[in-house]
Amino acid sequence: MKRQSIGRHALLIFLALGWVIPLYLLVINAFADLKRWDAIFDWNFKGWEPRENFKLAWEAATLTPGLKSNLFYGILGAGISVFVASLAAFAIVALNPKRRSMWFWLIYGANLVPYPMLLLPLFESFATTGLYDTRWGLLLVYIGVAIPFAFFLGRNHMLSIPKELLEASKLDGANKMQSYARIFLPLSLPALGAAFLFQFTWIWNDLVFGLTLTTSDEIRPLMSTLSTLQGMYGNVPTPVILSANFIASLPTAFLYIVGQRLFVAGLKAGS
Amino acid sequence: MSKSKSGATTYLFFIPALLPVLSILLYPIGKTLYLSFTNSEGLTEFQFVGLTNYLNFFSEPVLRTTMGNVVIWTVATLLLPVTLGLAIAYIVSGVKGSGIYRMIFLLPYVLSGVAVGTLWFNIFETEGLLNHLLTVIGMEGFQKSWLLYAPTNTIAMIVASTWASTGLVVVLFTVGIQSVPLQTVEAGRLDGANAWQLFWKVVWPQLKYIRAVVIGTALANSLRTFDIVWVMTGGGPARSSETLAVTMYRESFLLNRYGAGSAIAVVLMILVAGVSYFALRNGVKKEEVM
Amino acid sequence: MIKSKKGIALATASALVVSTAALAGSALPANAASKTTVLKFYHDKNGWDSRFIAVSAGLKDGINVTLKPSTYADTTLYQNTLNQAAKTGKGPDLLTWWSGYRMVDGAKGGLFADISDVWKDAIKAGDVSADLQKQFMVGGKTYAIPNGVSYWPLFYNKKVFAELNLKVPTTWDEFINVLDTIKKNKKVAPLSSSVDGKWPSFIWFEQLLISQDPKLYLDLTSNKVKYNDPKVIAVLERWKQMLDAGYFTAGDTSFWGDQSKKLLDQGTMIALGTWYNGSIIATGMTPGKDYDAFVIPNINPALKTQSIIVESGAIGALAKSKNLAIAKKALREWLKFPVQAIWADQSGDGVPNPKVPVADPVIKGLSKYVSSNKVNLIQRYWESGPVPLIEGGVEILSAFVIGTKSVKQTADELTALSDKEWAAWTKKYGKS
Repeated sequence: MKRQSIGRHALLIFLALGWVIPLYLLVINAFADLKRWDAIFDWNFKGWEPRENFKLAWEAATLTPGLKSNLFYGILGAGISVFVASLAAFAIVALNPKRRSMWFWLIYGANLVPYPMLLLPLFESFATTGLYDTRWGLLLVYIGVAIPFAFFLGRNHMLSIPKELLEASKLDGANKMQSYARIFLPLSLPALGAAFLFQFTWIWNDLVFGLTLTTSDEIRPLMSTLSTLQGMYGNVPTPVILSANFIASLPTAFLYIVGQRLFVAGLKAGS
Repeated sequence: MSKSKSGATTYLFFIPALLPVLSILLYPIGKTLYLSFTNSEGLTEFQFVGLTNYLNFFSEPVLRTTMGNVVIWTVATLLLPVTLGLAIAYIVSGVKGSGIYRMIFLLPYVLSGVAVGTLWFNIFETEGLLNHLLTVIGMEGFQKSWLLYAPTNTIAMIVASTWASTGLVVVLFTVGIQSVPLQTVEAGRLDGANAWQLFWKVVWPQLKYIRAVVIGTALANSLRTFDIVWVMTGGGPARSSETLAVTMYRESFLLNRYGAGSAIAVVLMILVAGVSYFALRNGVKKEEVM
Repeated sequence: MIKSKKGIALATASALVVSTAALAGSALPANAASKTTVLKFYHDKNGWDSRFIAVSAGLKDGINVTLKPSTYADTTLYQNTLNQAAKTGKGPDLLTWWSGYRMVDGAKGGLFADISDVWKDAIKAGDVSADLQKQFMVGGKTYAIPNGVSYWPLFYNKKVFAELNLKVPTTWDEFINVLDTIKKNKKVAPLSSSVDGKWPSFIWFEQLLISQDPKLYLDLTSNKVKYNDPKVIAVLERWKQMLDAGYFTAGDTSFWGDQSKKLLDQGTMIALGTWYNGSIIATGMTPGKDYDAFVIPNINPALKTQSIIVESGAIGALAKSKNLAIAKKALREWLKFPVQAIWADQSGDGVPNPKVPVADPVIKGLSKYVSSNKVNLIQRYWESGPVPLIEGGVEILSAFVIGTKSVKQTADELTALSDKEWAAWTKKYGKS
């Protein structure tokens, strides 16, 4: 048993190196001392100034409105989409609806659309319905785009829940909502938790929907603001751009560290 | 008790999900379909041109390159992030410190597109970190302008994409593996199965539902590969690394040929729908078992 | 780290406006006396927000109008968003754009408002030169004002030149000598070049053409001469020789942000528009002292005058804007001395208003050289042809630059593309 364990560790460390090395390169260049920065990415440390670069990043781009907006879009967007997706997943798995396939494809089908195709027609319909440059308009888009994957993941995970549990709860006289809330929801928390994290990340990192469908600084999500740091007319040194992006990714990283326990530890005992 | 037809309340469970999805999809899909039969370009008036856009698309010489790249991306995605992610998820789930390992694979996924793009551009560019490393270890002869020529530019992008997205697969398979009943695994171990047999005979069959999600999603996403290609090479040089989604974007957004671009979008949607349906057909049928 | 030489008064004014804007988010600036109109201003110039805020302060002083800028980091997305804005009327009041052929679709399709009267007034007042007008005209009407006037010289590092005992070249032979000297001593490619983003591939295409034969360039871009004309092929051959000689940097070179200083310090000379001047200054280099710029000499000694590429961005008003009258007033005000002076100071570039004295030494030197030597001003390739031809053209040229297409292939493919796109353009828009 012990030999297997060492072998596993060795293999893992080897694989992990492939992931860690680029991260290392990213970090040391993002936090390079600007006084020693010569606009060339390096394998070696060029000083270590995370605080200073963070400070400059904060000054270079007004991050506060974007961060606030992102919390709104991320939490509500991922939360609502995962919740309604789980309801639909439950229905399709446990409630035996007529034309099951049709429901599946209607909700999952959105995942088949190449997203740039949505941008301009959505602008048009948003302009006509007054949703252009509004928080709720953009939120609606995030929810709509996030539901299909959450639905697919939730539904497939629920398929692995033994049907005896559902039968038992029916015998106990539980109605649909109760079966959902007491049995399926708790048992699919790992999958739904994962779905929440992924959709939160996607929404958090979105650039194009924010850029196309909103325009005011208070409404715009974070990446739209951040992206103004680079490009042809930018004056910001690369380490500061990268530091700004790091700050932007901190909340998501934090969520994963906290949430990991949710979808991993979960059911080792449960089954 | 087996096939009791559900009442109207069942549909109430679907409505909250359907409403947002349909409200943001209906107009775009409808408009795209409509425009695909026109010669809409820029801001000027357009006319119906029937199937012209579709015919033009299928007779484009660059189509071969584009479709070839789509196949490359699909195969690479299935081979790399999917297989690698599965292996990592399995190995990690049995060791101490699994949380830390998982975070390492997951962190790239969390980073913004700008951070990932900037990093990998600086790794692969002619004066970048990879060539620099090759010089230092005395392998100067192997230096290349990785991003400028096919196929190394597509390979470089696949490396970057794998780095960023394997973590997602690891998490998904972890969820699946964690759902395998402990008793089943223990029983297998007691029977004397080694790690390999344990995986194939015991764990793998239990992963079929998560597997469908991973493969289905991987297929749908790789067929629609756009972001990383647009950011790192723009589909170039001379359109050699273009994928179908890039072609669509180029036609619509770069050249403002909304009619032609819409036709490509429709073709892409049909392709993704067809492949997904094919791949998921098993999954949907097995539901009958419920 | 955003360093620029500002007059103290100007710096204070800008800082005040910026901090107010930051505190109030993007709320309407309160004005007790009369109502300030806020015009929404969309642009795709990342990093120029502070400049536009400074302009806004100038507009406020002049006509009680302020700008609320929105940055669009992605140029392609920007253009398409604006097309949608044109169709739906939901969008900005003012916007940045491109001149020449790039204005045609917007002008004919109802993106821009006709501002011919603004020009008439401005020319009369001597606020703008009449020969700048043509590039903003479509079908006899004018649709935008110039956003700066940028030359395309060659930026060079004065310290490197001093170190290698080099003087600014006045003939092609001297120029090649400079290239060889830099290459030999600094072990770098002496000229900037890139295909990153595809569009930079036109830079040396147009430059070599106008140094050889500016009339050929003009005929080529107006479809009077084909891309596989022997004279054009001769220029492509020369370009190939220079590429093979290692004079140009690698195809994935980036010029943006902190790369300007890196390139100049290593000895590479940079061929970009003078709008780039502000970026170089922001890295801490001093114009005129650390670096300067010169007009590239003619290849063909028989030519009597030199030529230089010129570029002007555009600022227009959305035709469907609800504040159109005020937007037009703002455009008129933009051309007046006070705002133009702000722009000159902020951008470190040339401005359309001839009354504004040029402060930046590099621009000043260039302008002086251009006017005293009667250098021909030639419109940039990017604005000089049907848009799909230019977009497809730079893709082909990019492949040529990195060596995956031969001279003959490049010329033939460009010719085929050109024939196709000119026909399509003329059919759609007529001869504009």
